[in-house]
Amino acid sequence: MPRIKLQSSDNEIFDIEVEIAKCSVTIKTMLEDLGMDDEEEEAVPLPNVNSAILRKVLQWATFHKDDPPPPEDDENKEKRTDDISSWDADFLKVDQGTLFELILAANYLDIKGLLDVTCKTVANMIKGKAPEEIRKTFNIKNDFTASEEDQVRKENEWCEEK
Amino acid sequence: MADATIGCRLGEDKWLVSNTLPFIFEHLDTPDLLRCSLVCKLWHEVTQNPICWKTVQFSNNCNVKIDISGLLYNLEAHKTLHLKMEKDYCVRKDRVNLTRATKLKTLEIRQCSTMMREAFLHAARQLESIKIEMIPGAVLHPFNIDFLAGMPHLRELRLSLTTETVQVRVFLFDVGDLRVLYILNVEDMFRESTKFIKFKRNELEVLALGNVGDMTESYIPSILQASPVLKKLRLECCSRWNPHNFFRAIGLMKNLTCLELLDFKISDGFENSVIFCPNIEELTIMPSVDRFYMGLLNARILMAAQNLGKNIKKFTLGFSKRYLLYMYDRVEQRNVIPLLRCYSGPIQRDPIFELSILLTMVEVEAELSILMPTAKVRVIELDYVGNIFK
Repeated sequence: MPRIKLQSSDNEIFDIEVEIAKCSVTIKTMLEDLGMDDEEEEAVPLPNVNSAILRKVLQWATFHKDDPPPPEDDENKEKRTDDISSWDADFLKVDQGTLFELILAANYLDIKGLLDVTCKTVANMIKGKAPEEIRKTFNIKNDFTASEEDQVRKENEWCEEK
Repeated sequence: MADATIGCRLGEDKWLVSNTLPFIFEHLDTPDLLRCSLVCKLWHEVTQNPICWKTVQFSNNCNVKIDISGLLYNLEAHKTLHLKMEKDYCVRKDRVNLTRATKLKTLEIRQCSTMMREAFLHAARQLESIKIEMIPGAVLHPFNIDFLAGMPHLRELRLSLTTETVQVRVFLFDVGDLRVLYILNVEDMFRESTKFIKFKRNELEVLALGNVGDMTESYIPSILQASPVLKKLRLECCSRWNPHNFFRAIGLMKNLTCLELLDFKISDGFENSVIFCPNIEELTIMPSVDRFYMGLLNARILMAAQNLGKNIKKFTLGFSKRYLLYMYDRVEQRNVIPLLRCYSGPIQRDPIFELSILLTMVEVEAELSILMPTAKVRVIELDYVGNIFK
């Protein structure tokens, strides 16, 4: 089984199977574009991902390596967030900071499955909550002036919550 | 670099927010998205990102009242492509400006009102796909040829009607450039004046018709003749025809490889008639509840399987809840009341009964697999009669 070395932003080297690394479209294209062959000794630098997050990402990718490839961006799919597998749900029981770092990493590395499941997890933290509850959940300060807030309420008037 | 204070950054760090929130908001129903726009200025900015508006969705648990002209305005402003509503929440606050050209490509509404449907038929000329379940009693008159002609891009139309169907007959004359057509839950579409129902020659690849039970026997062959490229046919509540004639007509359709017969009466001659359609590769049968024919069902299905032999690639035998309940009552030696025919809710079943049903299904599946060695055979509980989303 051919292997590859990945280097995190804090210079840690991860030695993994090429097939697992290729679930990242970014790495896959990088390998193809650079014509890197399987015998490559040089580590692939990933300056946007630190070792703690990269370790998590690789853990996820290893577990999901036999998944069928994600469907081509189906334009018209139903929005749903209740389809997170129990392994993923357990895997994502992390603090908010890590969760957002994972989203950034999944986005940068272009791993659709991981991006979807992390984003759905955060979406579930937002669903059904009033703006004040959302602020509380994510520790956000309301920086609207009263008149600005009124303006936004007006924008949203067409869809009135009962 | 797990940052415990990420919350503060979610209100301030523009880079972090614009690289994460749009992908999160993409998964939200529209009412949730609108609440997010009130969180802070930065979030409000992100909610304007087109990615959040590509699909506008209102799920069953949304409790909202929607001003339809406001909705149309937002669909237009954000270039929304897909609209899904699990209920019809719309009210009309004003009568002006209802017609706005939206970029919508697909429209899915459950429990759709007449007002809602009309609004979209006028506003969304670009539509490529419409799936609408009408609420009972909704008026149907706009469903005629004119409405199709005004939507040159429409390729898929799925309707569940549950209402009078006077004008549907007219509409059926010409299905335009449609590739997929479903018309289900039609009460009396085929009951009277069947002479009016004829398809023009068409390009249909998938066709599903509900309540065809009372249709005259010559009707299906005439539809088939007009639809030379048909690949998949689904018929619901088929009862009265001579299976010999029916399967002969199916056999003439060289492109037709997938046949679904739901609430289908497996009558005398069925088992031998299937040999007339060697073109069928996928066959789904959900037998109707019929006291007289039930006893013979297994034998007929098994003989049919033998006759279908090697051509078939996928064979599904499905039993509805109603059917299983009927069997349950037979087991219990109780009288079956006609009401059961309308039963569709969850049923309280005895676990022993459940097990015996399951064992029977497994047994039948095994027997069928032997008779159709090349096919993927499934014997399951199944009920999607009237469901346009299947």
